[in-house]
Amino acid sequence: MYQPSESELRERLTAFIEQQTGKPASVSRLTRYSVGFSWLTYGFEATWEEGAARQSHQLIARIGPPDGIFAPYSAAPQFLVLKAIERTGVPVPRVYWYTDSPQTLGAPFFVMEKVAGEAPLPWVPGGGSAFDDTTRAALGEQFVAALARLHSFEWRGTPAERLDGARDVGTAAAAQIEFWERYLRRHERRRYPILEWALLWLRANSPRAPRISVIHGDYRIGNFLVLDGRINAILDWELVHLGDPHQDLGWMCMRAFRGRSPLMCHLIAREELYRRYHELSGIAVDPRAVAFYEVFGTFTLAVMHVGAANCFEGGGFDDLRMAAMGAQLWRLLSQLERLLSGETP
Amino acid sequence: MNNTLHRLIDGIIIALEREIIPHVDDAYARGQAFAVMDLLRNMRSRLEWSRDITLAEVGLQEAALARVDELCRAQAERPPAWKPSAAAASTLSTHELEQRRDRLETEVCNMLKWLAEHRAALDPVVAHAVEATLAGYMRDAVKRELALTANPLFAEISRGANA
Repeated sequence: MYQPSESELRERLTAFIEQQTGKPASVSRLTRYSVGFSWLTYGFEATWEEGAARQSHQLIARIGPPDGIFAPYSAAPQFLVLKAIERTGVPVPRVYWYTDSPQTLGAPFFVMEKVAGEAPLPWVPGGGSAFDDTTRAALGEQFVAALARLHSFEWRGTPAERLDGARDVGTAAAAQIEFWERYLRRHERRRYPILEWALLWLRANSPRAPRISVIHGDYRIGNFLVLDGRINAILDWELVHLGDPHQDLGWMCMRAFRGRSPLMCHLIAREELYRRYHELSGIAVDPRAVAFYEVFGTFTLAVMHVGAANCFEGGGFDDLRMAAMGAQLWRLLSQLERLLSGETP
Repeated sequence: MNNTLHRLIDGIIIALEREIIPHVDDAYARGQAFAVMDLLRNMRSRLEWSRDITLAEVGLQEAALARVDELCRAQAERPPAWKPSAAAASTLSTHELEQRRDRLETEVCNMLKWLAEHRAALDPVVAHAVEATLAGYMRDAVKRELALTANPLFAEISRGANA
């Protein structure tokens, strides 16, 4: 299992920063965070000379472990897209450097600023509200506005042009289905009829995309930081790609990210989401396409649980959180089964 | 469950040894954690997943596949051949039962694919009945599994603290 020692990591990050800045650097206060089930997240303080003085920076290193749930990883897509959209009004952390070479840390990684704030989680004890009404309204508006800006971003001619995904509005859904089916086949240790049913349904019901946008891929509660009632940063861009904007909307609307709340991601009513998103992005929302991507999202989330169980079982990844994810697969299969049967999960 | 029992036990022992015990400051708490490791090592070769649960799963699968076979008997387009296994499920070891369950899941998957591909050639009433049988099986299977699944502790796992 990939697990560099603290001293090794500190030493290598120091050398990497010195190489990037061309100045002597130091790394301290290295802390591993328990957030994130895929990329490993370390916080640290780095100091190097800027101008005449030594400046301290609070930074985050995100490392894609060779045995992780989405291995083999590449840091390039996240880095490129975060760089490309940093001045679009989508709140994102500033990114510093990245490498896909295993030479430095034995795995791809990128370094970004540490943004202050708390990440509200979708799992609310007792199934109650995640926010008070005022905070919820403010966060909901900001969350939709950031998505509208992302989807309106003209990616052609920017580094985001190098992202994986579809370029053709007619095949955006098919490209994603194919991607996740390959992932499923790589990780399944037994077949699951509900997943096969879902694949058949998805292929038979694929919508045409209204346009090709940059898709976050995991746009939900849990993946943004809140400070003083405002969203400070949208995080976790590891599934970013080019595709149908309805994909992020469908993901936001999934039962898995709202529990018993009638509000999408505990933030906003469905009709209000569609209305504000259309007003802010100019992209008309097709409710049938959102419904398709809710099924698709529930399918992919279930497939990720299959992947987590397999990484633990035979992939040499000893992180018990993977097994805990795998143990919840049937919860997702239940939601998927209800969606495929035309019921509300 | 979607991992083997022995891999889970090994993983729990590894987590205790590498990730938990080195970070526990209290000697008594560390002693308790070592006792958990000791017990898990002793339990490992005596445990297996519940045979009764797997036996019930296989029963549901065999009933659904037999029903589809019966529904399609008069159709020109026949589903993938299905014959009940010679050995009764109740005579199999837990490991053999798990293998049979996995094989029958593959057969249900093949049946779903066959239905999607040949639906137009089937009597609509039969097609609907086959679909309802397979959907009913999947719903029953998921209900059974869900009843055995405890609520997740993802909030606690993500925060590393009580929710």
